[in-house]
Amino acid sequence: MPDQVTNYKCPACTGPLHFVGASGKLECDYCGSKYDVAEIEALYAEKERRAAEAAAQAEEERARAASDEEGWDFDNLGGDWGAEGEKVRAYNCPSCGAQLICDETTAATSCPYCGNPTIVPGNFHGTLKPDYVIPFKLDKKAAMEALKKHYKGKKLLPKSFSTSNHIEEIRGIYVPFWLFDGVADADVQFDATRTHVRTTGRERITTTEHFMVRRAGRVPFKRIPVDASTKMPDEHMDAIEPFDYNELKPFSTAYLPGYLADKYDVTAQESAARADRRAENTALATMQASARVGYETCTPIHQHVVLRRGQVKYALLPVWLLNTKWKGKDFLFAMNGQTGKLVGNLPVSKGRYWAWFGGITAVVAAVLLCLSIFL
Amino acid sequence: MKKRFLALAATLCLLLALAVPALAASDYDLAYDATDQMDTAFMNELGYDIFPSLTDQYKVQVRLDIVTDLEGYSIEDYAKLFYDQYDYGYGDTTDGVLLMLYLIEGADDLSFGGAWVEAQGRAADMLGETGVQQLRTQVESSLGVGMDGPLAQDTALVQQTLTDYTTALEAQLAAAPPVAGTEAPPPAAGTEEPAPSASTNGEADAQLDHVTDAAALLSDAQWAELEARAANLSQQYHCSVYIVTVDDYTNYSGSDVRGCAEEIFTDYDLGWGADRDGVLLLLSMADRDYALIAHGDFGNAAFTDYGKDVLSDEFLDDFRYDEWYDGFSDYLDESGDMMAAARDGHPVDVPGYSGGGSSSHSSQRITAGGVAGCIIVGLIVALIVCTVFKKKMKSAKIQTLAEEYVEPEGVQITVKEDHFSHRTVHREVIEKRSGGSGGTTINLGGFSGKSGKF
Repeated sequence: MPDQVTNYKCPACTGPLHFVGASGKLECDYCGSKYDVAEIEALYAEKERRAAEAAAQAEEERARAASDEEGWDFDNLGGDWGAEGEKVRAYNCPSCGAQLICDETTAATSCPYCGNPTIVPGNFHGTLKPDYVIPFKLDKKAAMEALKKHYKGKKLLPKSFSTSNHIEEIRGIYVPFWLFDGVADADVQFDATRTHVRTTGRERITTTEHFMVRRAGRVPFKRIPVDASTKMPDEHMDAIEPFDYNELKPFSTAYLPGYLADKYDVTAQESAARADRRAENTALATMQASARVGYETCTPIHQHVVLRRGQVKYALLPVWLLNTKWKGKDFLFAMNGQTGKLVGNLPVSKGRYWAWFGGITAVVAAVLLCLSIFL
Repeated sequence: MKKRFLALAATLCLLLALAVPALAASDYDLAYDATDQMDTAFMNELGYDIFPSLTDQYKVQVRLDIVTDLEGYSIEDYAKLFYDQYDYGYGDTTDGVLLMLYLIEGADDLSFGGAWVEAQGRAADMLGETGVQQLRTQVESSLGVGMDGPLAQDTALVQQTLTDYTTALEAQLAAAPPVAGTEAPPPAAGTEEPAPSASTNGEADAQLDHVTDAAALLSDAQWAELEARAANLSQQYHCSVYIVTVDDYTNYSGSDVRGCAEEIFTDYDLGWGADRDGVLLLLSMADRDYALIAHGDFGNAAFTDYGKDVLSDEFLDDFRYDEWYDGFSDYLDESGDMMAAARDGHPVDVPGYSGGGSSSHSSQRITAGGVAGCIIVGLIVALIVCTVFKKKMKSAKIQTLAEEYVEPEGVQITVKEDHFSHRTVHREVIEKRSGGSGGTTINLGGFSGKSGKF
């Protein structure tokens, strides 16, 4: 952990503690609880000891996984920052724990995740330098336009949401991703059917032909992305895919000015399961697409997938984050800083929902009644 | 303009392409020749003149089909298939006789593959099994040994056989005893037309009057008037119209009220003609149950499922207020309208029918069930649409696939095996439907019907 200003928090309510000279104790600003200094220091020391143990255990697991022949290849993953590390600043958010880096010319004034303005500079401790980066292509103005466009056509959006809510914060941030290469070997058996129907004078005869269909093959993948930040909601990061890898460039701090970059806090090993699942599902889908040609139904009855895992790379990909508040609730939108695809969940107006429901019911029922009368 | 012209031209070309196979065979109204080798004048006379004349005279449709491919069926099955699929028969009935000849086309001749005489309805009664067999044997004997010459000789033999067959058929039809329901021959000059007698009355075997009022709902005068009207309707349309009232149907049958009505119809030999065409309304006063049933080809054709709903609406309004005579009167009037419509070839089967008489059941007939159905459909559509709207509000979701990251040139299918395993066959009996527009559900006993409370 980098050296930093530590804000002691009240164990009872997590409010800030301050030292009161008169009592010689640490007092909470919110709930008034009082603690001895030694008591709080011992509490924080225990926390730091546990954090250090967890970090050491994670380091051991990483080393073990790297030597596993069936696992992902991390040998060519990232590297030392070298001289470039001197041009990078680090910031930590005491509220949500985010660890951010940016160019030496850029100042971070607030946390892009939780909005906390008391973000604190820290010493830069880069574990890995990224292999790749996709530079930002779209600016903040494009992000705002995309958000307005996102509201359009949403029949159930409360009117006051699009008129009265305001963007609390827009930040361009390079999100850390692990990029996985590999090959999936799939072998699937299906039960497929074809049906013929014939009608005689008095009978309808349905003949169903059953086939045992087998498809096996290999499906190579390149750069399946999995985001490496716990701060970034996985649904948002998955939904803004795909990025255009044609614009993937070798990493340089020259792309950082004006933007923050998140440090990864989810290891590649921890992310691998998501990449595995996507690769397996896609391999099975590819076999099924090949098998169902010429059949009416095609049901898998036995499937086997072997993943030959390849290299893993570390990349920073551009994302615009937009936070907005409405009726006390936070809404997060994420826009792909390269393609402009914007995602984010919108609130549903119950009044509008039932109004549409009732209106459609009435119109359809009326149309059907008229048709039954006049036809 | 250009687009319309091109569309018209394309349509004409499509029609022509589809018509080409049909043009290979020749259709002569009631005669069909798949070989296209028979003399055109001969076939024209047969199909447009002789067979229609026999049809009109004996009220049974006379047809000929010469086929060259049985499509895997036996000739008997193929003849029955033709009969059913193409709705052969006189008017709305299945009364008719079909001669099917199976001829095998060679390079320069024809060979005889088989013959079948399919008689149904009144024609079967008139000819009898023996007569049908005689006709068939005659054709087989004539063609079975003689068709070994050149094409011209073979076609001449077939035509002679058809001429002989037609003569024999006409003789059999003329000699057949009158079947119940056929019209009496016109009286000789100077004689009065005899009153309808039992021998020309298609419901002579019926053991009940047209109106049987066991529950004593009608006065004598009302009964007499309704009886006369029902008898006239029955005679006019050769379809018997019945009214039966009982105190409690369970005293007559262990079945439900509709089953009881069917049992009464059967046990008392009700109905007109060999087909037992008829319609019967049964009222059971104990629990105010009613049943409305129809029987026979014409009876089921005239009183379709929809038609029975229309008919029951007419009398239920009156019965609700215990207006028995008015209800029965409406029932008879409406039944007459429906039978008239069926005779005209337009049975009451779809909304939009407007009959004469005492009712004006225009197309504005909406039932409570119909309104409820429209609302339920509206609710379902609204649910689907609003669910789609709601899904659009949520755009952030986890990806489960990685299709964008597949290297397409690297995908290889190394094993492709397709092996036939087995075959399953499922046979389903199609419920017979009758009526020009096919709207009557008929059970195995030949009855269609509905029941309810009044």
